Amino acid sequence: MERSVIVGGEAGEGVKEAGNLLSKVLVSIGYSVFTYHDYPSLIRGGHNFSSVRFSNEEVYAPVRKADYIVALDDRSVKRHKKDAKESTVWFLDEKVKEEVSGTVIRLPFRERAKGVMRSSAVLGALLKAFRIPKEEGLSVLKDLKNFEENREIFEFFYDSSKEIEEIVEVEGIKGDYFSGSEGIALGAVDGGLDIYIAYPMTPASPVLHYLAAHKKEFGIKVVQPENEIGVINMVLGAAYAGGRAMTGTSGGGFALMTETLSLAGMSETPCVIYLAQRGAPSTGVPTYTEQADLLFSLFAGHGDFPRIVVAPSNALECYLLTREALNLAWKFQVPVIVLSSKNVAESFFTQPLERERVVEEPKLWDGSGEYKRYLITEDGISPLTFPGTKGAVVKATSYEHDEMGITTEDPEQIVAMKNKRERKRETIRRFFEEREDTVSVGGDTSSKRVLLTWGENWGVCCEAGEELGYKAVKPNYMEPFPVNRLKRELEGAEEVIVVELSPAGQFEKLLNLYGIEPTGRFRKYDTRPIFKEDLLEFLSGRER
Amino acid sequence: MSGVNLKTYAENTWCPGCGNFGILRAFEMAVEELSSEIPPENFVIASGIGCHGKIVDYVNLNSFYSIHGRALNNLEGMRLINDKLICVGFVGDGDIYAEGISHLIFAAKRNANITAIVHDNRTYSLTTGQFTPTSPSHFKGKSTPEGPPEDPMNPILLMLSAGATFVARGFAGDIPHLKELIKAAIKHKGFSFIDVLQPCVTFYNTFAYYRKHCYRLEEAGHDPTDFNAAVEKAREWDYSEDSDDAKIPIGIFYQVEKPTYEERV
Repeated sequence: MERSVIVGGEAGEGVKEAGNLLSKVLVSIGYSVFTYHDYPSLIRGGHNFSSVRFSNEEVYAPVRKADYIVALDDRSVKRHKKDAKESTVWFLDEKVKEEVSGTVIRLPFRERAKGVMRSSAVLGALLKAFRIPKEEGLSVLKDLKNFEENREIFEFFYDSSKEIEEIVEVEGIKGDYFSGSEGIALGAVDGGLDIYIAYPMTPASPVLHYLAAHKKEFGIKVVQPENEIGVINMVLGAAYAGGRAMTGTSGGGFALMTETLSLAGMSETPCVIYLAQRGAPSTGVPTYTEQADLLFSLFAGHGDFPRIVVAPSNALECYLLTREALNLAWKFQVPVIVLSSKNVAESFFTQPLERERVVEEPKLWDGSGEYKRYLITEDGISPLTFPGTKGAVVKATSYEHDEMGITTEDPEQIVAMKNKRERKRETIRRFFEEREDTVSVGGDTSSKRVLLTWGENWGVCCEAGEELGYKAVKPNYMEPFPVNRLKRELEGAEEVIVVELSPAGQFEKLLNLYGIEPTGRFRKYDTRPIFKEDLLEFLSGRER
Repeated sequence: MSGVNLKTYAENTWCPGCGNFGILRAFEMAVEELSSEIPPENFVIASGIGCHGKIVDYVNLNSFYSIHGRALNNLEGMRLINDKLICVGFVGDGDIYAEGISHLIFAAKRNANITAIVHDNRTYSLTTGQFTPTSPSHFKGKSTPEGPPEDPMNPILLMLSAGATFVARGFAGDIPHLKELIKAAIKHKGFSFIDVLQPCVTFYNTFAYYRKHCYRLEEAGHDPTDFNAAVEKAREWDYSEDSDDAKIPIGIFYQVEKPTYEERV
């Protein structure tokens, strides 16, 4: 049993909230829900829509076609006519003039509910249609600020709406409903975050907002400095003083940080940068998605230095990989980039979230002898200590340096220090080499036809793969790139189709770099996510 | 004298007679004199890029040798993690008045409890002599052989308007006076700013001029708690004038206590 609901209206009238309220009710009665929020870069007006897809089997991707469409204005009707099926049930605001065919329920959404409270009206209308008891809706609404007012609106619309079909409570899927951004934030906290320092930028800002709202509960600091250059330098200062520090941004902000990324590499200062991709280049398409910062994230910064790039595909991976990112940064004293994109960051998933604090102790100075910040070691990792430690002078630097951290231009010392950093790169590579979890496998795992993807396309590739007989494969780490593990999964494959959101095919270029030659490609770059129908249609077309 | 060993083995590569030696000496003396109050391990010094930056290699204290214009942010980050750290940033005029100007203004605006000591030699020296934001308009640098087509900024006025709670000017040729300024700046709770007139013997040797024209504010009856008086004194010299009757005030222009950034975060 699977259904999909679209709620459309202007910005500021509770479209996103309606999607989330409905999703929470559905999750509470046992469904797996994937919710995609689509909004342009404006504050009032325009056209927003939320697409709530739910099923008694796990769903991780958006679909185009909707079984139910709620349209608060004419524009929403016009925009979503193409998303309707013959059987689609329409909920229209009374004032809507556009004609639609099929079942239509007209309700006074705009007249009876103001602004964001229209979300409670939409919830009431839909729950009645689904024959879901009122109480299920009220238990979700009770967390809202103006509960009484919302309850009144909700009940009015519940009572005025019509029953369409029964969405029964189901067993099986028990998950938490949370977004990629919330996963990032909670993962950071459970990885020992002390301070989050960020400048606002869509679609990374939800992490900043979430952590700022909960900073007391989490016992962390959250600050917003003057710009991304100031941000990343404060992150490095905090880390030098011993604090686990992280920032989040999108492509343009990350571009500003790259000068200091090299400083992190040279000074071997641990830091975590959450990079949420959006439509690019330049300002691009700020509230939509793309995967065209992949090569930038891998190669940003002048000079050679090791880094780690992790690439989560859904909310739970956001949690797990961000928590790990903090530990990796400190274990290896390197910058770690958590690379997501809008459709991971701002979509909501239903996954079991078992929170656990995992904070590994980094390699620390044992207090004996003279402290050398850049002690030459076999594994390339020098013990850490922090300013304020008696008997230690901690000298970090952007210049090439000797073991003490004093500037050097001596060729032998330069080579020794570069070799140390390269040994660290090798230490990191070996750390990941034997791990099975560097690559995920899904879809029809026995198939010899492979959909090779990364990041936000994972859910859709798994679902399409299962339906049409393709194995879905993706790396979870882009650096160090799990090339051997990937090649094992591709062994004997008759077809390898690369699925990515980049017109130039950045992921495919990366694969080529490691000697992997795909046989086909699906590139989408209208800055919208890959809807399930898109991929099914493409793959079916190939078979004809 | 506490016998704190502040020397490192790094070879000093400043030009003989460089104004930076005066700043280094004044800072070392300040640290020594403060050593009964501040254990050396609690100091962190940071620097940007330029001749001034080398100072962190020459002082045996915790240090963060940053990149051009960014050192103050590194120190602000440290203070948010450990408020016992005494953070002193050595920055240059090209470094912090050009590349890092936004960071300087915001450090002042926030009242971060750090000290910024600007080695203001009014020329880019490590890159061999271009004009900086405080070079006079008649400064004939390598990139502007006829002089820069713009007037210098007045960093004292800028810092007063940005909200700095300790604003001072020193002269690298007056070490005892500079030492006292540095001590006062370090002890000040909040953002402390000292613009140090630091002659560059190679590209812009202003020693003789400063010696002749600098006078001490505290000896002229200036009240550093009076903001308007501070503004007036800041305007007395505009970083361009080089006439025989110029008067260049050094000392504390303004000092006020306000809650710090770290306290408010």
